[in-house]
Amino acid sequence: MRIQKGIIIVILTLLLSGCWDETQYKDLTIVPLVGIEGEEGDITTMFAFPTFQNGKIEYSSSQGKGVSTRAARSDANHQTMEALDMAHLEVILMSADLAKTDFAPSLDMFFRTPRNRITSYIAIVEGEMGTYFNPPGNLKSEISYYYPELLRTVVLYSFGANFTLQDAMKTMFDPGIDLALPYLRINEETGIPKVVGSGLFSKQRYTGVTLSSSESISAVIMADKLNKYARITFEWEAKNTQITVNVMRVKKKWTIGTDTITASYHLDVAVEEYAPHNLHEKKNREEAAAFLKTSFKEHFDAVIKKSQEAESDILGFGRKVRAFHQELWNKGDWQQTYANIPIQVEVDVRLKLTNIAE
Amino acid sequence: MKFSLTPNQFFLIIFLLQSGIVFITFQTRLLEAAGRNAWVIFIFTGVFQYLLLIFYERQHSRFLPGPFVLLLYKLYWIYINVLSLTNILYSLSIWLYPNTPSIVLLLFMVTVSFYANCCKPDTIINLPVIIIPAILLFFVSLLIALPDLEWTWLFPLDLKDVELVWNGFLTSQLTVVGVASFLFLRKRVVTDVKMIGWPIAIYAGFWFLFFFMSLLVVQLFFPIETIAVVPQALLYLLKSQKVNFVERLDLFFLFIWMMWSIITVILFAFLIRLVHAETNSGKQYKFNLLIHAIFLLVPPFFSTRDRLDMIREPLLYLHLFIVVVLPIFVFIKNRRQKT
Repeated sequence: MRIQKGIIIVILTLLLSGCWDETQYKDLTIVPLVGIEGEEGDITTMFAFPTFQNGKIEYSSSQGKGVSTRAARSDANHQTMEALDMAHLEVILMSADLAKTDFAPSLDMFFRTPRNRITSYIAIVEGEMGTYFNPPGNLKSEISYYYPELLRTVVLYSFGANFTLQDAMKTMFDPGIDLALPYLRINEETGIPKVVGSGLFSKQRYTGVTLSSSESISAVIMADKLNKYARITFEWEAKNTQITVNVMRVKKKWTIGTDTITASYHLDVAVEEYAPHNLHEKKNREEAAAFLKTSFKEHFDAVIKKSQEAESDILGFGRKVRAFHQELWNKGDWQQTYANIPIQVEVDVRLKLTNIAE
Repeated sequence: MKFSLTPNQFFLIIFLLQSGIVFITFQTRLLEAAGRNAWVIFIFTGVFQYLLLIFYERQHSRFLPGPFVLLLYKLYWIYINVLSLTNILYSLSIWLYPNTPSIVLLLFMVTVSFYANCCKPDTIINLPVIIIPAILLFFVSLLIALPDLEWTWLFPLDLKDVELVWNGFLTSQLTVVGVASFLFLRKRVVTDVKMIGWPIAIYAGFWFLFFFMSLLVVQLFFPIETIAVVPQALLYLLKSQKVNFVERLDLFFLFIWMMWSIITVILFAFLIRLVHAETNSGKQYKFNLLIHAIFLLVPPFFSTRDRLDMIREPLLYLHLFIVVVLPIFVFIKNRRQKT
């Protein structure tokens, strides 16, 4: 009986094995927001985190410098009451200057440490990182809460796609596609950080070229990565009005030849806003569809033009080329081939819903 | 040792012996070895495994190994268990328990295996049933990644590179490692069961589907250039999925894999005892204690990156010898003796 009890005690002791790796919240500071700037070898990292003071949650920030992101975190740890923990990271902000360099090693700590979350969003900011941690305008919310919600909205409204850390790292290492990340700037009027478009990358580096908001939505539509909403407003000068549509469905077909690419799109759209409200007549619907067809084509052409100028294949034509058109792929560096190949865009729009009670 | 197996128990045990340790890691190793050819090479491996099973089934009555061959099988499985435990320790120390002393984790696993192997054989042969829900859960979790798959990553293929194809084929043998158990367990299956035809085809099909699907999902989820950066691609894939019921799907699966692996270790220990009992009558308690002492003492020595690579290196060549060469040798020897 004694032996049996002894065995049970030994086995139960083994179940305590988790204790060595127990991590208590009181010993850690959970960091939901990180900002990185500088260049590899001289990195400055800012951390925003919640603190409990006088029974209330308040947000604070800390800064560290070092030769790498990890070293910068260690430096920041020396100025924080508790150790900074990245396991629940929600947003990584990266300065545009850092993004123009070989920044992948700066993200390695977040991407490859098994404890860390890899579904955090990543975005580029223009100017000093400190401004984004202490914006001049009144945010009416804490920054640790503001940026994750802002970027969730970007996803929801299809301003951007594939910009979690996991997606960004995968895209960066894939030679058949280039990265596009949300681009933030401080609004001069309000002093509040705003997503103004998408920064285009070429071969793992930010090119300095950005797509505007409407071009960013167009790029998401062209890549067929729609989220819940993909609303876009066009100025209809001939009718002296505006029309807002939500793209419901995209059918894309890319035909790749030896020296040209044709990208055909069929879009199902729902009209969200149209003041003349005369779409119950077939003739008007056809007219609106024709206008939308031309307008979408203009937007899509603009995306192609800008991405070619930046040598940034954000739509991923290269993936298809590498898989099925080796002759074209082997012509040389894909980004340069992409920049020079004529790309023909064809758009067909079906006005599926008018969304206004008739 | 007296026990008998139903065909379902028989195939479930073999499936666990084949999948237990490698199902979470083989994709990365195969993709590293074969590049984009991995999926085509695995189809060859599927055919190889099917033909091997048919060959075993046709010849199993002639499989009457002598004491030396039995010793080789025992040593091979001891090696497999040591390697498996070392691999588990290494993975757990990276992903789950970086601060827990490896001997504590090992003591936990080896004690469970020792206790199970002290029980009646019926207890052990029913253990794999625990894993059935986990297999289904694993399939469903892979399906979550479906919208993120990129089909163009299947091409271009480079099957003209013989070295690449051979390396891939050799690495894909990781998934066939436990198949030699067929020869020892087949005679325990209740009589009057015809295995050739549907039973083997269904088992080989399920085995193929299980491994092929996990390989395909990993290959279509990561660009081939990323594989070198993410050492355990399947865990990264699971980690990148957002689900409501659990914050980290990879950790959830690591626990399942741990359970899966412990049952596999128990089954390999059971096989070793089974083979030992063929030439040694009497109580098996001391032998059981001895092999578990080996499982407890040897793996911590090898649980560093260099040493793990060192003991992992000969596995595939040893495997081909044990699974193909040795059985053929035994079959031929017994045929000659009969004539």
